[in-house]
Amino acid sequence: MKDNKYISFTEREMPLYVNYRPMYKVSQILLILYFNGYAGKASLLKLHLFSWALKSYENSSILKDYVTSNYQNKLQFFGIESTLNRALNLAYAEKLVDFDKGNYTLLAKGKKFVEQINEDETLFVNEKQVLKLIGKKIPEKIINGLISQWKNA
Amino acid sequence: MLKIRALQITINTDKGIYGTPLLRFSDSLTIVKGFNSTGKSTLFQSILYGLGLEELIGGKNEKTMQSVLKSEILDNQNKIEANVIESNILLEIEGTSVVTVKRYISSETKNSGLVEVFNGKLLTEPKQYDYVPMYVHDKGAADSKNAFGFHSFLEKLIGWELPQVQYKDGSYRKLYLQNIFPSFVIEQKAGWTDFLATIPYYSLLDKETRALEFLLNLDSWKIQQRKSKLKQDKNDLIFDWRNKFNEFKSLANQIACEIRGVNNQPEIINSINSVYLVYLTEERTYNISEYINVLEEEYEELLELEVPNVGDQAEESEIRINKLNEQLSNYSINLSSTINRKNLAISKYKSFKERLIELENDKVQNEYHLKVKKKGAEEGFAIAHDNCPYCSQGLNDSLLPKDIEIVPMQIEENLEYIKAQINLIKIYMSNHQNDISDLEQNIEKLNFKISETRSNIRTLKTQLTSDNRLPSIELIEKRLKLKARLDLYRRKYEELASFQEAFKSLSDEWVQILSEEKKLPKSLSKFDYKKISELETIFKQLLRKFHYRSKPIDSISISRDTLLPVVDRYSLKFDSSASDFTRAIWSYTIALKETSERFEGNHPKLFILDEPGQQEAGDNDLQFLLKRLGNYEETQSIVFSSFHQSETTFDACTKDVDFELIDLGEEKFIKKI
Repeated sequence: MKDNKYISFTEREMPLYVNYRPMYKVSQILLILYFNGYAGKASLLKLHLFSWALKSYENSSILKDYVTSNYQNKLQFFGIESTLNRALNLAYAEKLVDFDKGNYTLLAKGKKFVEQINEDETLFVNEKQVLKLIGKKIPEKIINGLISQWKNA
Repeated sequence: MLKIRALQITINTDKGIYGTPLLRFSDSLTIVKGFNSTGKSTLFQSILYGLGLEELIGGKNEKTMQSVLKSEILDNQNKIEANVIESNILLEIEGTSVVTVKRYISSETKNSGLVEVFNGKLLTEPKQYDYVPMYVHDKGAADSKNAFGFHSFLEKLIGWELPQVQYKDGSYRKLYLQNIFPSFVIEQKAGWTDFLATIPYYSLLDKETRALEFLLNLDSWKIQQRKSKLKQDKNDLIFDWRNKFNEFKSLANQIACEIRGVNNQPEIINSINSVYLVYLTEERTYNISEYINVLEEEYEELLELEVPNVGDQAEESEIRINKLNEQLSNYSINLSSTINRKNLAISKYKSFKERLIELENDKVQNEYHLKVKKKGAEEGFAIAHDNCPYCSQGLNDSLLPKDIEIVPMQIEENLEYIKAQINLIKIYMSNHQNDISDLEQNIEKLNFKISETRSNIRTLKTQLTSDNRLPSIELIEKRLKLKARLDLYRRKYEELASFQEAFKSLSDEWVQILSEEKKLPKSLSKFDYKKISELETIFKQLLRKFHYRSKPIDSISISRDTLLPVVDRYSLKFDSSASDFTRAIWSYTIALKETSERFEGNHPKLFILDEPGQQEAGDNDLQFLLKRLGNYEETQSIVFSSFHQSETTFDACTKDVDFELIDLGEEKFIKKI
């Protein structure tokens, strides 16, 4: 004789790290393109670099020091996370950014949105400050240089 | 009060001087009549420009003005007749005194952000008056370093004292003039689309309501201010209380006592005697005055003892030294373990603090997310609605891959979760802080005991090595020490009274603040309600007289929250036909003034209305409006209208109306002089 006995679980909702939230990450991407891309354009690695820098105060200081030391300080490794790629896909589908020849570009709709974020003085206060400070001082060439160091390591 | 006494426009062109003659306005109703494109709007806008209020037309400085004042003058066939070189407006106004304002629209040398204020009736009684340069909108616009703000000058001239109001960023700043004028200066394009439609955007919370509160001089903003004042007082008192408590605590520490009946937060103290100090021993707890008695008795006993010789005491002294040494090492062990515990607590406290900073950062970032998600939703982004833009399936508000099967919290809930954690950490931190300060107190006590024991041992040892025939210094020293101790406690006991009084009086203040807080009405005072129901009565009477039909008038009321007319909590706008809505704006505009007048509010008793006969509101009704305006004794009205370019309409509308006419005629009013 078989008794059907069940154990039931109630699925609890979990708190989620804010970097894994779509609109948050998409807004961050738009801000990076807006402040740090040449003509609103940036490579995937550049986006990863800045996204990593915005993750913590320590990271952003490392990047700042790297720039202010005229690229002499060590910046050995920055993290890469798959959630950024997923956020990029969403932003692309939403027609906020375009993807062409390995670069992401800010589209008009994205630009309008990021300008709204920029005007709102209560949003992304520290992030905007960091991104503005670094500005366009990290050209793709430098990033590629960093990558080749990884390969040789 | 504010009156527009006279206006004159002067335009220098390559073909000579153009402009208007001197236009005087009556103290009561002035009608400015003219065919389309004769220059009515130019005059209306010039008045606003002269007051530095061109933001009501939708912009700052000269760009809001018509091209006749800044680029070219057209003839009646709309061909360019002359090119503008420099143009300015002179506006004579009266408030607490009469001044004349000169402002340039187009000029090579004078900035349009600058006005010159002449101290007198430059237009109606021309003379050489002294003038002061002032700036509008932007301090940088003024050439002179000492320029005044024109609007704060105008505020004083009208006799207003504008309140501080809360802006969306939480700061308190002055209410702007631009925020108030749209309730009695109504422009023809946007002005008739809503109540107070032309208030510029200043990220002010409930901007219409703030203007209305001010005009009616409601207590509600005073209540708001009173509330924030009380909050400030409360914080000050908490601060004073804490300081006093810390002083008290250091007094208690000096005499190794503990505080009873009061702690570091303000509370209600009913009697002075409920604040006191206690001295704890292992056996029992003494009230400080009891303890002083004990010391006194002990001292008395010691005085009665005969001082023995050193030799008699030698053996006993040795035993005592051993005992004291044992005690000393106990104390030392105790001390080092207490210090360890304190250090542990401090390091825990520090790690909590770090965690708190992280959590607060998390909270800010989650708030960002919530905000951009809302903004995105307004823009119609699919991701902001938790939909995938590719497959239209749910996104769960997460970037994690689908095969990680967790259900994330909704962002609002996530925020609450973080806030709850922050609160928890704060509680931990405050507990640890208390522990740390308790431990510190213990350390101090132990240190005191250790040094006391050491000194006792020293005394006994000295005694053992001295001559046997000498009197024992131990007892003498014990006496001296006890005397010193007794004196200290007596002195501190005297100080206690002043603390008791201080806490009592702080507590009385505290009670006062709390009861005042209780007494404050929620937002409107009784008097406010009276004013609002008066406003409602007048408004509804006027609606009837203007033949408002879109809704039964009994269903209309003035919202106690927004002070605007509503039907079933919705704006009247949605339920009224276009012409009826114009009537509603007339009624509301007039009702505001009459209510303010009845209760001595802040209405400046001025109306400037541009084409009130919008949306075919009807000649009869317009006639009724003009008549009402014309009948006011102490209120100036300036009405601009084309009267459908028909004399018949004009006659019908002004029948039985008292007014003075400025007729611009059928052709361009700005002509070569």
